[in-house]
Amino acid sequence: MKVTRTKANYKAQALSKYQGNPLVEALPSSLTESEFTELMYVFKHFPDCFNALSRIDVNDCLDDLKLVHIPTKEAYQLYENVYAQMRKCYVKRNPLDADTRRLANSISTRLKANCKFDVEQPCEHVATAPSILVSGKAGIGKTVLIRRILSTFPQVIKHTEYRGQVFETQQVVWMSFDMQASRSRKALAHNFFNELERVVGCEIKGDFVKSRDSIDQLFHAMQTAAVVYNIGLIHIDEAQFVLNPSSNFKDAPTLPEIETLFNKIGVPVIISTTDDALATFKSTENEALTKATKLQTVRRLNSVAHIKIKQWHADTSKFDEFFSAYFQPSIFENSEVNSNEFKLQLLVLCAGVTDAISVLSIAFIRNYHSLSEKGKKLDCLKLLKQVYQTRMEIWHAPLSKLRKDYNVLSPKKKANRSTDSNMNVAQLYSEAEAFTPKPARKRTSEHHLKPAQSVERINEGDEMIDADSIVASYENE
Amino acid sequence: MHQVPTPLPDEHAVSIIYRWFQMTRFETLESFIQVNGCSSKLNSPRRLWCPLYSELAHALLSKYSLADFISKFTNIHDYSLFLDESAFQGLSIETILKKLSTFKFSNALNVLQDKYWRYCPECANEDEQKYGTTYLHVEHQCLYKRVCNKHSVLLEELASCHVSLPPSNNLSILASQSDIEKDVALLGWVSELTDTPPEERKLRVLNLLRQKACVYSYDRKNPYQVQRVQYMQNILAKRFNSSVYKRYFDWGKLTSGHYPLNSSGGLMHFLEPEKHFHPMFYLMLIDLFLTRDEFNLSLEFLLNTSNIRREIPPVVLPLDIRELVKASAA
Ligand SMILES: [Zn+2]
Repeated sequence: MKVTRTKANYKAQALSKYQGNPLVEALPSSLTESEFTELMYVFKHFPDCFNALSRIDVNDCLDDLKLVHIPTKEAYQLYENVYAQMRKCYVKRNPLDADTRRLANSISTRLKANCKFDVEQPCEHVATAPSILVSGKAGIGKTVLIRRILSTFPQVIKHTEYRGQVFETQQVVWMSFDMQASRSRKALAHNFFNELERVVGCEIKGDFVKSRDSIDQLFHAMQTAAVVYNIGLIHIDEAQFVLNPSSNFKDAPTLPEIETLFNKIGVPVIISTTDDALATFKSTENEALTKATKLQTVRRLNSVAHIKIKQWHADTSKFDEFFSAYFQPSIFENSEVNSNEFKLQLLVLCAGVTDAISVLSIAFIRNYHSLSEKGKKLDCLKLLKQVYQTRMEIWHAPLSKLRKDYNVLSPKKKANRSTDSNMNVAQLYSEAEAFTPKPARKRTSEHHLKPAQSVERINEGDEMIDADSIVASYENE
Repeated sequence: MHQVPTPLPDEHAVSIIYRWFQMTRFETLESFIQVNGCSSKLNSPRRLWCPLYSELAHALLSKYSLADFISKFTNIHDYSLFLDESAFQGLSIETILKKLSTFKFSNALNVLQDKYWRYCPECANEDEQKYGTTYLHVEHQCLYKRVCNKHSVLLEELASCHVSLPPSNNLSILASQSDIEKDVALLGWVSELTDTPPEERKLRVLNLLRQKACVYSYDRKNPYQVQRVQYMQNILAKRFNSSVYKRYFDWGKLTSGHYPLNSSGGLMHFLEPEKHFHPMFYLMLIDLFLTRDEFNLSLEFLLNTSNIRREIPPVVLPLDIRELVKASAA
């Protein structure tokens, strides 16, 4: 992801507590819901001549569809939380304030003295910042959503002068990194510094870390760097790897550790995780009552906001927008794909999960296009299922599991529906489940080494869809 | 670019460097400086320039030119008060700064004032309260100052000859009236001299001092001149011993016939324009032998800078030989 850097442009603050703080005054003004939504939308319109394009150009256009983004109503809720918490925490960390210097000093003193990293110890001079919890099914688009929201802020703000005084400072407004890649404490620290170096654009690791530093020093080093570079918010993605650390990775950092790392020095954290991991975490809460830290963590996790990213449902205007961003009128005018049944089948197959819908739709459109080029008359529903079979092999097990609790119909609109369409819906579910996985293609992906329920993250494999094989199977029938 | 700490009011470059070092993993300042490619120590304000300052100056370039940086964050201008700048002519500023980083004044006579980094305990207390940290002020490192202007207390030295931030909560010692007055007098001279073109300062001053001694070019074989200079040395020693000046220097009593006045030409040594002594010597000589009126009067006459030994027309009366005898006998 490209780093956006801007020069500080200080804005007058309406509330007096935000005045006189360069880090707050340099933040972009908050967006209204409509401004925000407009900013978040990404459409990739096909050219009018789509059907006349070469195969390579078509693939190019289809590739762009991966970027399509239709914000849901949780998006603004999350944005508001991010904005409010970031600002609130910057207020307590005004770099021109005595207490902020004291905080930085006491943290860096611990770094130099190689002190033990103490999870229990509260930090001096600064109030603990909150966490924002974001959960949702795997593949629902949490990462993309959060990073897109964060991207409404510049990532680095460069200050040079504030109120006539020299103020040569870089403000790293946000950082986002992945616990998937940070399965040990050491890896966490190195990912943190690599990301920070990428963001500020220069080598700084040497200022904070020496080779062979202990875990304690690495943790103090991250804290020092977070204060020195005025980090406004840290997004920890794929937190399921730390929510239930016992399972696979013994040296994984625990959630209390991560909270001590950042929240306690006044940096708010967004933790995003799968629903599954959260459910497991909560269910083990009782047996872990004696573990005070875990309990505290649960309390704190719920303290500010828990935003649940929901699956897509049929008959909602948002889904219709989402659908038509892929199935664009320029190629699908008067096509069968616009039927209610097709939409329902697509949703059911993908259990309403954004990434799955995106992958399946793109694969479908590619096949649709190449088949119709050959002048075939198409049965879209059938083609959809065929593409699902070929393309979604690795997705099937987790999707099948999700489907069990997924109601394709929007819960609010249920009453208005006829029994007739309910019948159809049930059939769509069994159609989806009728899928029998072919013998696994030779893949070294680790997902194949794990039972389906432990797949917490679906890797987007290489685009392996082979349109010709589908074409061939289509012709055989 | 590295994130350097935001300078606090009147903060010295060395202090910013130290606070920068504080925010790192390095255990000693020396290792921090070394990693950043410099080997010079920052042991005293007399170390006029440390190559790491260049990095700091670069980081603050958006607001301060290198020249601004030098005058705002270092004491170089105090030291260059009498420095013959022709020595640096034609050199790039980088070369000059590199030279300054190893620069030493002639002669090993020790001026106490700038041997250690100094601070005002009251300022340190206030800074800790107000800014959350103590720091070294540029003003306190000024070589001719003993007293904090703001609090009228004596400046304290940092215990070691390494840099650190001043302790807070140290008790302060109230400055005596004579200390305060001496600081004021010296500051007056410095601002007077600062208004004079830099290449003329030392020449004018030395000229006037030679006029006082009634020797323009000292001749060791001329018994009359030798005697006069010895009398002058006596007077210098007496005035020095009875003034607050002792506190500015590392040597105890100044005695004529003893180092540095052990040779008949001891004083004349100080008056040679080609030599660069510590500016504190010149300030002391000026303050002990000249008046501001005399200096102002000399400014009426043009100085021939192409011949540095050529005197300006006499504007001060030489000390009367009979008075010299009387004064040195008393
Ligand atoms: Zn003071």
